[in-house]
Amino acid sequence: MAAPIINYISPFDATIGTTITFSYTGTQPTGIQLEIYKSDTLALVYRNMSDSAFERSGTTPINLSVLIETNAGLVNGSRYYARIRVIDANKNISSWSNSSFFFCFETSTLIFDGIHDGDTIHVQAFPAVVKYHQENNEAIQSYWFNLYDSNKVLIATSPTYYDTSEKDGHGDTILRYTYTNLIDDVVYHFRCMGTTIHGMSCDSGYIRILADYHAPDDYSMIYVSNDATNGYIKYQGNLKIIQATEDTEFDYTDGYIHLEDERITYESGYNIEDDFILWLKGYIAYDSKVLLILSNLAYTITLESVVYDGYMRFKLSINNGLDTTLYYSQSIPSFIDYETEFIWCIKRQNNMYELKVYELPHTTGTVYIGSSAPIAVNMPGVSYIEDEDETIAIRGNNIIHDETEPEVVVPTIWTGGEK
Amino acid sequence: MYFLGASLIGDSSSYDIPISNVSNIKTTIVQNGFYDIFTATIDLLKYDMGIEYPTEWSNNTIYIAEFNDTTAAGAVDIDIHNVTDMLVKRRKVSDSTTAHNWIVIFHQDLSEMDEDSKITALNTMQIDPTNINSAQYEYAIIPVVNGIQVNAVSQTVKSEFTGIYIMEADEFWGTIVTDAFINTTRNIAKTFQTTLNYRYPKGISNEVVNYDTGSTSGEFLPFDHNTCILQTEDDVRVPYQRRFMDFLTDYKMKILKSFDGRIWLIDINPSPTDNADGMYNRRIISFNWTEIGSVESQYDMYYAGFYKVPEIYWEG
Repeated sequence: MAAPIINYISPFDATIGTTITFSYTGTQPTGIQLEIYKSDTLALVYRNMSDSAFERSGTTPINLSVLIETNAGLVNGSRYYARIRVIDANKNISSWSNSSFFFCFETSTLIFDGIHDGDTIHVQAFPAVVKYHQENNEAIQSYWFNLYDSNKVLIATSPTYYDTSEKDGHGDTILRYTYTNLIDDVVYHFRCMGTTIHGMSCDSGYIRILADYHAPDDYSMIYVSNDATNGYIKYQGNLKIIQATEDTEFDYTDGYIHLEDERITYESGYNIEDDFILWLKGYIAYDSKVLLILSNLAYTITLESVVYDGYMRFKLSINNGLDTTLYYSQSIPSFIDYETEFIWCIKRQNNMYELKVYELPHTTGTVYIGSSAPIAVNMPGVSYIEDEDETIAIRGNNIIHDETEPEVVVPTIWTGGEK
Repeated sequence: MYFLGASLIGDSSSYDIPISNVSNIKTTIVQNGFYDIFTATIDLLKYDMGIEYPTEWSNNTIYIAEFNDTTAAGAVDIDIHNVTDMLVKRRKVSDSTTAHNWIVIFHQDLSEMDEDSKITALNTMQIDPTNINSAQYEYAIIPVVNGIQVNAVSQTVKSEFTGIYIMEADEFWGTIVTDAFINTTRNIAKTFQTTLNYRYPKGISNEVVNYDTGSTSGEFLPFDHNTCILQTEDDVRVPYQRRFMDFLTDYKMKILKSFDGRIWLIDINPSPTDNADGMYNRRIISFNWTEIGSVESQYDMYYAGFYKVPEIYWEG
C-alpha cells in the first residue's frame, strides 16, 4: 500500500490553523492519521486520527485534506514537520508519508501609514507608505500594490518589489509606492499584498479613498464633503473671524489706522504654531517705540524702533524665558516723523528668525492723502495734497509707488545679546 | 580658542544661545504707528521676505488686517457682534427641475451667544442625510445680521455612496447593497365605474394622492470598514440588530435611500420582522413603509423633524 504524498505546507498562524492537502493512491480510504513533530526536538506535539468515510473521487491518485486545528498545541515562531498515513476500507494501513516541514508564524500585518479607510486625499499622485509587521520577525520577501475602483474591481497592479531594506524605529519594514493618475472626485480602493520569505501571504485589506484635489488652498466660508462610507454630506462653516479686543473707536484715513499712541490687540481666532512670515506696513515717529508684540502669554517676540547714539535702528527681540535673542537692523538716516513708509517683514523658519525692513519711496514726500486737510491727524510735518493723480499714484496697491524697486535699507546684520 | 587657525567661540557673542523659540502665539499687539496693513502667512513656499505680501485670504493665512475702517483681521468682513443667526441652504444642481429650488436645511440662533460661542457654532460640522447617489449639490452658508441675509458663500459637492441607508436627523443605519432590497407600490386614488350604456368602465379620481408604499429587507449586519468584513458573531450581531429594530420602531420619520438614486421620506408601518433564512444566525429584517413627503420640500422636511428651521426663513 503506497504512502500518501503531502503537498507543500505554507506557513500559517497557529492560532488560526490550516488545512494540509495530500494525494493518495489506493482503495477507498476510511481514516487518516496525522502526526506533527517539533523539528528541533523531534518531540511529538500533535496526533489526530480521523476515521470518517471519505468520498472516492473516481480518479487515481485522489487528493485529500486534513485539518490542523487551533488546539493542536503548535506555537508561532516554531518549525514543525507533519506526516500522514491512510487507513483503507480493508483496514490496511499505508506507510507514513514523507515528512513535510512547515513554519508557524503569527499573522503578519500590512498597514497603510497616515491614511485610513474613508479618507479623502487631495493629490493626483499619492505616495503610499505601508508598514509591515510580523511578531516572529518573519521578513517580507516581496510585495505589490493594487488599485481598485469603488466596486473593488482591479484597475492596476504595481510591479512586484523586493526592496525591504527600509525600517522604522520599531523595526517594522517600510514599503513605498506612489499611486498615480488618480482622477478627481473618484472613489478608489488601495490594497497592498505581499509574501514572506517562507511563503506566508500578507494583505492590508481594502482602504477606501476618495481623490479630491480641487484647489486645496482656496479658502471658502463653507466646507462640504461627501461621506461615502456613511452615505451623507458633511458641511461645516469656516468663518475665520479675528477681531481686536479693544472697544475703542479708532481713526482711519484712507485705509490707514491711527495708532500713534494706541494699540490694537488680537487674542482669538488664530494660533501661530510654527513657521510664519509677517508683514507690517506703515509710518512711525523717529523715536524709541514698541511697534509690535507677538506673545504666547509666557514669552514674546517684540519689534521696536530704537534711537541711540544719534541713530535709529529696528530691534527684533525673541524672549523664551531663559534668554533673549536680538536682531538689530543697520542704522538708518534720520527722517521726519510719519513721512517715510516702512514695511517690516519678520520670518521664522525652523526656529531661525530674520528681520528685513523696506523703505518705500513715494512721489510726494508726504503720507497723508484725503479729501480734507489733516487737521485732526497727529502727523507733524505732513502737507496736504489735493492732486488726484498723486493720490492714485500713492494709494496704488500699497506696495510700490513708482517705477523703481524699493531699496532694502536695513537687512538683519547683527544678532546676539543686548547691545 | 583657536583650532587650525580658526577662532572657535572666541568672539563676544559667539557663545550666546543662538535661538529662542516662541510657539503657539495667540496674542498680537500692534501699536505706535500709522499703519496700512498687517498680515501673516504660514506659506513659506509661496512668499519670501519681500514687499509682496498676501492680500487674499487662503487656508495658509494667519491674519490680514487692511484697516479699511475696521480692525477685523479675519477672512470674513462681517462684525460678529451683529450676527444674530446663521442659515445653511442646499440645492440639487445636477437636476434641472430642482436646480433653483433652495432649501434651508440648517438654522442656528446666535443672538444670545458671546463672540467665541458664535464662531464655534458657525464652524461646527453638520450632516445632511438627504443626498442621493451621483448627484451634484450646492451648499451655501449665510450669516444673518439683524434679520438680513448677507454674504452667501457656497460650495458644490458630488454625492457618492453605495448601499442602502435609513436615516433620521441624528441617527443613521445602512447595509451593503447585496444584502438588501427595496420594492415599492405606487398608490393613487382611482376607481373604475361601469355605466349602463357603454361597454367599458370609466376611471374616476377625485384626489391628488400619489405616493409610494414599499417593503425593505436586508441583513443589516455591522460592517468592519477596515477589513471589509461583515461581523456575524452573535455577540456583535444580536445587539446591533436589536438596536436597529428599536430604531425602526421609534415612531420617527425617516429617510430611506438606495445607491441607485431612489429616495423617500417615510414612516415605518407596523410591524418589522426578524426572520431566519436557512440558518439561525442569518437574520433577515423586513419592514414595510409608507411615503409621507418629499425630501425636496421645506415643509415636509420640517414636519418630519429633519430641518428645524423657523418658518420665516423657509424658501419657496
